Amino acid sequence: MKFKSGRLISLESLSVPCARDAKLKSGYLLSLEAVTAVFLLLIAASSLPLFRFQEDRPQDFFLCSDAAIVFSKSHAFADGSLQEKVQTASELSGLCIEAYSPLTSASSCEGEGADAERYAFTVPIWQSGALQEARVSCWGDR
Amino acid sequence: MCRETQQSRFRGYFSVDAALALVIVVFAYASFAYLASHAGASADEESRQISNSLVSLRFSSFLVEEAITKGTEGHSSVNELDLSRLLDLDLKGMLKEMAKSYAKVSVGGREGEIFSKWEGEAGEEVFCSARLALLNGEIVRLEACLG
Repeated sequence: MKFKSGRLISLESLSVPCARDAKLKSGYLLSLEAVTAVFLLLIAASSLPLFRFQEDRPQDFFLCSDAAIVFSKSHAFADGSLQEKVQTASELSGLCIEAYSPLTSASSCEGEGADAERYAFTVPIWQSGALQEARVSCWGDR
Repeated sequence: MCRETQQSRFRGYFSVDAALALVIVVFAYASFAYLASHAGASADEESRQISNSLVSLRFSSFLVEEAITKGTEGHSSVNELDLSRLLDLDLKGMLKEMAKSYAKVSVGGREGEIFSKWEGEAGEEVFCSARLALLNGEIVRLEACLG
């Protein structure tokens, strides 16, 4: 407060922007910018996964189906050569391969790929004098 | 007294804000423009890669179908390759049909390459697809490439 010509007047009534007011206003504006910037940053960050390059390997699907056909046609489930053939197919295709029937099973990557995304095919096989179902699944790179 | 000094400081704060806002606008515009062009280029490149990979995959399926063993009664044996049929493949004719400049087919086993045949000149980009098949009872890898 200040006395002028013997009258009591306030700074507000003179509409004088004092340092304190100006500081407050600018501080408010800056914090608003900061909030907006953080908000925009969050939007940008949340949209980043949309631009991530996703590598699809359509040939893995064909390689896995080829492996299932090849195991079935080469009698690998019946003649005891399943593990060797699974290993060969895995080396040639670059995939981890697992094959199993009611009587036998083999895997090229033992104990791996529990959470991996797999391709799986069921093929008919002739085993122990009966028609059975065998399953071949493949995943990832070796 | 108070009015003059404080007003100039007040204006000073506002001009800093305005400058900051301008910087942010320019930066945001440049960022979005860059992001949009980069995303477009990336999508183009990705679709081109996928398209060429699928073409080579189809080519490999065609080759496997062309090279499989044919029985005497017209029956064919899926995924069982016949080396003589592979040798007879007309890659030159296929290139003409597909309007491509390079084609290669190779067959290999655990011990190494068994057969290889190509036609044309390999350009900057060659797309290959691998398949598994049987050759004389052994598992082999057939690779078909297109450029």
